[in-house]
Amino acid sequence: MKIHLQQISKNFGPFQALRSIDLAIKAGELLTLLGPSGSGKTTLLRIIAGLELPDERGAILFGDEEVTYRSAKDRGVGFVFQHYALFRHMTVFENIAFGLRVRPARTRPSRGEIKDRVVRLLKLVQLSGLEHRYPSQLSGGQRQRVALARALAVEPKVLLLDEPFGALDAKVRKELRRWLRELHAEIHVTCIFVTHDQEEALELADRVVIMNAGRIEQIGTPEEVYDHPANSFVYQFLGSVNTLITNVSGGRARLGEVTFPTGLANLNEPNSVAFIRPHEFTVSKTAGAKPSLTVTLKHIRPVGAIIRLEVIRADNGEILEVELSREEYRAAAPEINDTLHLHPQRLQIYPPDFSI
Amino acid sequence: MTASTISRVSTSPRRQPCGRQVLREPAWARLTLLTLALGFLFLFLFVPLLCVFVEAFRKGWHAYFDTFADRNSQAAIVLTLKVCAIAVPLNVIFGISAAWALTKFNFKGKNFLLTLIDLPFAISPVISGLVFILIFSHTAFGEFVKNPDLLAFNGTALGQWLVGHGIVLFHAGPFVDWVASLGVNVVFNPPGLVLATLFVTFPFVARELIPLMQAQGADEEQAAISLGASGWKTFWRVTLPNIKWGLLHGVVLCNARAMGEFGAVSVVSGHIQGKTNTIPLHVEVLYESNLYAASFAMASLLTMLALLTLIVKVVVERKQGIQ
Repeated sequence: MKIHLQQISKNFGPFQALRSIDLAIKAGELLTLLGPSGSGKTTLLRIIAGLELPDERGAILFGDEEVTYRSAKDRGVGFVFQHYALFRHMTVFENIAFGLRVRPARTRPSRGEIKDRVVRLLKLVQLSGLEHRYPSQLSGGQRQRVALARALAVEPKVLLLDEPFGALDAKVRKELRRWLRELHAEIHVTCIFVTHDQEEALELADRVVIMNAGRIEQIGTPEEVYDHPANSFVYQFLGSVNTLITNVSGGRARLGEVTFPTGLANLNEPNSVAFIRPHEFTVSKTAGAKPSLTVTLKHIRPVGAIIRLEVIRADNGEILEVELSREEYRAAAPEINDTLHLHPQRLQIYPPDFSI
Repeated sequence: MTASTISRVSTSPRRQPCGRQVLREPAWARLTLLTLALGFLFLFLFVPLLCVFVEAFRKGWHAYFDTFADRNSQAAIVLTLKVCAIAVPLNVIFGISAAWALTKFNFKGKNFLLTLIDLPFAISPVISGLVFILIFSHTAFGEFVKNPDLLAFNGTALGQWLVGHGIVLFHAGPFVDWVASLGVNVVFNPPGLVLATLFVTFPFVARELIPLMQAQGADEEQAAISLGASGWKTFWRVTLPNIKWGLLHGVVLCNARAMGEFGAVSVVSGHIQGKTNTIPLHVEVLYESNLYAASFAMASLLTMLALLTLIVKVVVERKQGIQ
């Protein structure tokens, strides 16, 4: 089911958690809300669920129906909490069956139907055989899968997940991420997933919504937002980045002795910030034909599949970070205190109006 | 469980390098502390407890059971049970609603309400009894106002000014007339005992539940509601099962205090034998009539209740710990 959010604002006293958010969520897509803590992403999710009311003026539409003031109980959403919120005095079976058992007698499925559905859901979340355990007897990852099965039991029109893997360790998180992706492909319910982990957001999502200080900064597919960040906030939030103060005139950015094309032909701005990702450098020991920065190598840090270099600019002593693949590293074979020439493959400058 | 793990972790590094010396006091110190603590317990807890039963049985089993054959004693026991049967359930309802309101919602004046709940702990029970006399006196009020100090207040400048503005402090107002017109006599009557007991014991359940519900948060309730449960079903199926042991603990304490309350009840009761005397009041009446054995026999009832309360408390705490 598609969801429309129109001019959603929310104030907590003097704090503006959300500032007039407009967002359209397509039916069946997996959308992630990504942002630093305090950016309003969880508040937005809770407003969609009906656990929080938006300030007046805003409207929420499920399909073509307005549900802005409908209670959470009647919205037909599944909500998965960061800390699971499983009913601790009920077994796994009872937890999953809860949403069906509390229905009024008219719409409540029979005992047998409830049992069938719970068994099917247990299989779906790969927890068959654990139905008589209590939540305290399960691991974190298992608990969260029970919470998911419980939310899915009521056949929600939309599944809302509030940092569901935030309290789990890195390995389990990765497994659950892949598992959720597969689950979504299988049942195809509209999913909104809140996270502050950019890797998680990019890996899971059909589309990513990047939020900051109660506003939406950019909406797009993971490739779009990573390759074409709309502004400097998004650029800095998605992955590590080197920021260099530069003087731009006639569309060329000056870094030390050399100038680089910026792609913005008419830009003249003495104090711009240039963004270069650590892996977007070509490193060589000799200055080639391409414009390059002269640096001195200070540290070499192998981090798994990549080698991270810390270098100091020869002209102003600024520290930069460079990432090389093992092959690139072997080809260049740099040593500490070597002088290196860095050619940025890509250099992003935002005109000042768009930066914060 | 977590607390014990933490303490174990934090003490173990200390224990290892310096051996046992750090944690072990010399033998004489341990012995002194132990003797002091046990001696204190013996003197101030065990001896009085024993004394109650020794005195109660001083004149033999017959005298002991004769006490309970007496009409006034029976009336006192029945009245105490009746008062508790009304006051405790009402305080359970109040305690749950107060704890629910204070922990699941945010509103202005929350801290003020929290302080108000503690009020009966801070006020002397005699004062709380007096308050009900002041509010509800009708016939008895006339007696009360004969107190020259209070009458004098109406004559003071402030009193006259208040009366002039329609505020008559020492006068039973329309509220009392209305209550009396319902046929309910509060002062020197069982309803007064119920009111005073309610007031004195209302923090017990709420105080027990608030920290428990605060620690549990509102997540499970929110999950229940998002799954389509109504507020009522959420309460019965999610909230209540989570707080049941804490609630039972609060009820046990509340009941013990309700049965044993003396001060507030003493003020509103008027000590009418066979009509408004509860067990603690009857103990006093018997004692002042020099019927020591009977008095202690009645007291032994309350003592046994206290012991029973302790046992239930231990059992409940163990259950709570498991959960």
